[in-house]
Amino acid sequence: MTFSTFFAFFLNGLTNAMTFFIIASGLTLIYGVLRILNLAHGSFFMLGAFFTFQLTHWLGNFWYALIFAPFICAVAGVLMERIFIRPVYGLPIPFQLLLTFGLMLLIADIVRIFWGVAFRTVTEPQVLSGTMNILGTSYPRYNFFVIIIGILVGIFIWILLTKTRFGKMIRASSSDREVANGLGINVPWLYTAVFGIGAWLAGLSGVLAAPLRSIMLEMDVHTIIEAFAIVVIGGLGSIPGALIGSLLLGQLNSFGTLYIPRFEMAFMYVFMAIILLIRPKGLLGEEVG
Amino acid sequence: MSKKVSRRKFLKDAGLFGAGMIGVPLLKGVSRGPSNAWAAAKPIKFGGIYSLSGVVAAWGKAGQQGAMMAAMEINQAGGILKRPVECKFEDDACNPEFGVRKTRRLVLDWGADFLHGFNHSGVALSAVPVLPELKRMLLIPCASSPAITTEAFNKYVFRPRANVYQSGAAAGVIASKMPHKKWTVIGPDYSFGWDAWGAFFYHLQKRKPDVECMQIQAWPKFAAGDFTSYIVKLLEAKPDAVYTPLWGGDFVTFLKQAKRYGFFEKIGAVITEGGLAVDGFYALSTKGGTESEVPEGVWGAAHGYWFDHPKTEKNQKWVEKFMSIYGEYPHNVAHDAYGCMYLYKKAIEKVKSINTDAVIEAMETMEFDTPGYARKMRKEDHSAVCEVPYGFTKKDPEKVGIAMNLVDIRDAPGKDVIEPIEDVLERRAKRTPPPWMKYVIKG
Amino acid sequence: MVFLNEMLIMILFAISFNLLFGYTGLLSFGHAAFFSIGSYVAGLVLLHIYPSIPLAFAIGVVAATLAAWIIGYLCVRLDEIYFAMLTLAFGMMVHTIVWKWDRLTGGADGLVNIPRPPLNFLLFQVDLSSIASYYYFTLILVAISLYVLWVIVNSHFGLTLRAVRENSERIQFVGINVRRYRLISFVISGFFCGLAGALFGPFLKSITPSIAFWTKSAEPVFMSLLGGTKIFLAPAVGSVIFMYLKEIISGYTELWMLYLGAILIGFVLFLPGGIVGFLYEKLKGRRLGGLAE
Repeated sequence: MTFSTFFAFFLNGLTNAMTFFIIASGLTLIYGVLRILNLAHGSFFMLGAFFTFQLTHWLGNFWYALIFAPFICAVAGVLMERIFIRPVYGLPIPFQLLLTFGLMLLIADIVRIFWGVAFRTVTEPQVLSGTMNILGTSYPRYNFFVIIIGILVGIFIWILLTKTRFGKMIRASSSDREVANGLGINVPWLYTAVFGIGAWLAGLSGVLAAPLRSIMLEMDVHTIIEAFAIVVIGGLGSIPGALIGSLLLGQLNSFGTLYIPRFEMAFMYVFMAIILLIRPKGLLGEEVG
Repeated sequence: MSKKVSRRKFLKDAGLFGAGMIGVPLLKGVSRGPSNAWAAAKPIKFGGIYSLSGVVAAWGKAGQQGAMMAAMEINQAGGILKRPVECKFEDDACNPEFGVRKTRRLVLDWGADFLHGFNHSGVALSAVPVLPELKRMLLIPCASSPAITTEAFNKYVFRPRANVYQSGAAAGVIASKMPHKKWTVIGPDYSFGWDAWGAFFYHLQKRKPDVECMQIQAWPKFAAGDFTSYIVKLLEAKPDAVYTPLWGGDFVTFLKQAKRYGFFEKIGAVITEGGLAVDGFYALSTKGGTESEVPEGVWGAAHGYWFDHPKTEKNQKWVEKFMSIYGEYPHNVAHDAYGCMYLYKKAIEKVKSINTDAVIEAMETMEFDTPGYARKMRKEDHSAVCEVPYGFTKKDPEKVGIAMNLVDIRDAPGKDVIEPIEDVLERRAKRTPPPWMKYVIKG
Repeated sequence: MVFLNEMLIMILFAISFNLLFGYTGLLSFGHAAFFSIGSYVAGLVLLHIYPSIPLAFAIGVVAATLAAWIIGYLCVRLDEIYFAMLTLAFGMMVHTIVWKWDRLTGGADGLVNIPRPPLNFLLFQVDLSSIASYYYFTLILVAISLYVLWVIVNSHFGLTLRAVRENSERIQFVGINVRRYRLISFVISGFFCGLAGALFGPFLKSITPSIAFWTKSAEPVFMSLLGGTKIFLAPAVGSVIFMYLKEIISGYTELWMLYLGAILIGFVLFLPGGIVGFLYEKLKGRRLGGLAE
């Protein structure tokens, strides 16, 4: 294999990894702070993609979608948290799963009502179309854009969690809710904010993924299982863990098509199982940040 | 231009939205004739199961369009045996489990007398085995894996159109005239994809023994959504030519992604069995339908029918009528679903009864017409002796909304391309996999 | 009757799942693995080895039980959410294998045209090809299985299981090997889920990898939660409700997910004990308690 092809595969894996990372970091953040496993997280991803289609369709401009679609998802997330998630904080995990599964079904059909059953496609903006030459490899410009945004999001989250007061509140609440309460942190409000951020991230991932693939129903069901695998491998609640998990899965998807086209998907689950058996807390433990 | 395009879009959107709601019982009592007798006549119920949602929703919708158009016409002309035709449609969502359930539901709950449908071969293969317990006929206007009439065959299933053995033979003729030696495939990972490629290469190699079936092939799952890794993998292997059974939304997505990598410039020839059906053209048209993303020079069969061919008066009139009702060019599935309804009519009227066994017996040896072609049913496996068209893409601004056309279409003669019946019967008896499966290499 | 047939199969699936969930306190999110293994193995036997339902079912169930043993052995060392995640991982592994091993399983198209050969009892034959006859066959098998499960649940073993569920730490002090009990429960659950799967193949006449996907694993979880996990037959009620809703709603509209989703949400928010739990409390005036932590 030439270096050029290898690099193309590597970049493919990196692009995938970045879209995974953005959505997985949202999922893991929500779990880390709220201790909620949200099966409807993939639904925000799907909503982000569909909103992207709609906004580019109406406004003719991908950039508006990039800015607004994640915020619409965030608003949806905030509403979801306040109305549906709040009542179940004390309940055991099976109920959370049942509830979020119901939400997933609900959102899936709402998408169906508004956008019908046909699949949609979105074209990347003109300025990002075409290929770029890097290290002798010709690679789509848009994919580079996705990679860069992924890195920026990672940096943004890191700054948020470590350098801001808000971030300190998040980390405090994830360690111990009662103590955090005692310290005067308005925990319910914090939870809503975190859930909103998580939804924002999932929506953003959907926006970025939209031009890369076809947009259709059932995106939610497949995406959520991949996101779950990633956060388990990386460590439930750990953002750097989500990054590692995403990189792993992204490259696996990419090189797997080349070398182990038959069972590449199984490897992800095998890895997930190995981690759970050897080091259940994931590669990087379970502290947020 | 804008008026026609927006009407088409409206009908399309309305149709899609309508497809989201469950089957509409239609068309009862739309005709002349003494209203008392007509109103009192018990309708003959035709149940249609198509993929009305998902990646190939346009193909399911086309089936609905064709069947409804035929049903309306038939009712306007007095129905079948002076009874009105009633239609109901169910969505299988490309899901074999749904296919079985909906088939059962149409017969047991709604009381369908006759069935038609199935776009996806996998779904069809699952549904065919339940026909004997339901004792109902099924006419298939789209799904084209040969397994349906070979391994999975029972007397209730009919396929009044070509299967991929036949279209593979037609493609093999064309490919054998090309100088390309190294062929590979990117296709959906299920029976239709395997059979389409395998049969094609099987025929190609018989005509041109020096071609090479490359070891590196791409088999993304059906409705994959992201083909980029496969595209890079194929380009790396540097094939001379590529055959692709990708269809519906998969083909559209693939084409968009492949263009980013300069796929069509790097590959000598691309042949697609069903990718360039009319829905693909609509999806890939840009700037309000005046331009297209489809490259020129891609070979396609449009899955057995292209509206602009043959240029007979009958076909052209039909296309015009279709356009006036639906605002778009007819899809091949619409053409064949239309043909299915009329085939039913012909067979039922011949035996003057709706008794399933009698109609089967009449239909097995029947000659019948579709708007484009004249076909004949073969008794032993209920497949059709029919032509298979192949042409290549070229810009054509006169084609409203798609700006492209398939030109230089030649029809491979029916009796040349159909699989010899001895082979079919032998495979059925021995239950061996088809000889072309050895060309499917998955690594 | 077709609908009832399927409902019976799902009832068996849900109740055998609940042995692990409600009675042993372990949430498995990968139980479709055993259902699908039972289904595929039985189907393969019927198609390629010998068309005999008893033989096919026996081998299918053995395969599912074996898988449950292996997977269970690895899983019972973990608790709570990790247990759930690991079962999910194994469930999806089975799904991938079933899907990608297409020479054996038919890949995405699955096994097609599974026969329903008559039962041969030496002296007479029972024809199973009609819808009604297969329904009665299913009814008998499911009834027997439920009876066996009932006996197990009410035995000394079953009592110990419930103790394990309530306080696994404490019970170790009484000398009970928690892991062993959990594993046995897991294996029994796998056995009957495999049987449910085996019944499913000839019912639908074809099976595809979707019966191994995680959403299929979710079904018995939700049926149990809907009906109630503390009473033996409660998951059956949940199954009935779930399937009935799906069937009825999808008869009127393609938007069944909307209504089903809304109902599930409503249940969690208002009836966490499940329908049966709710009624039980009302009738008996005492609390069953929610799920154990």
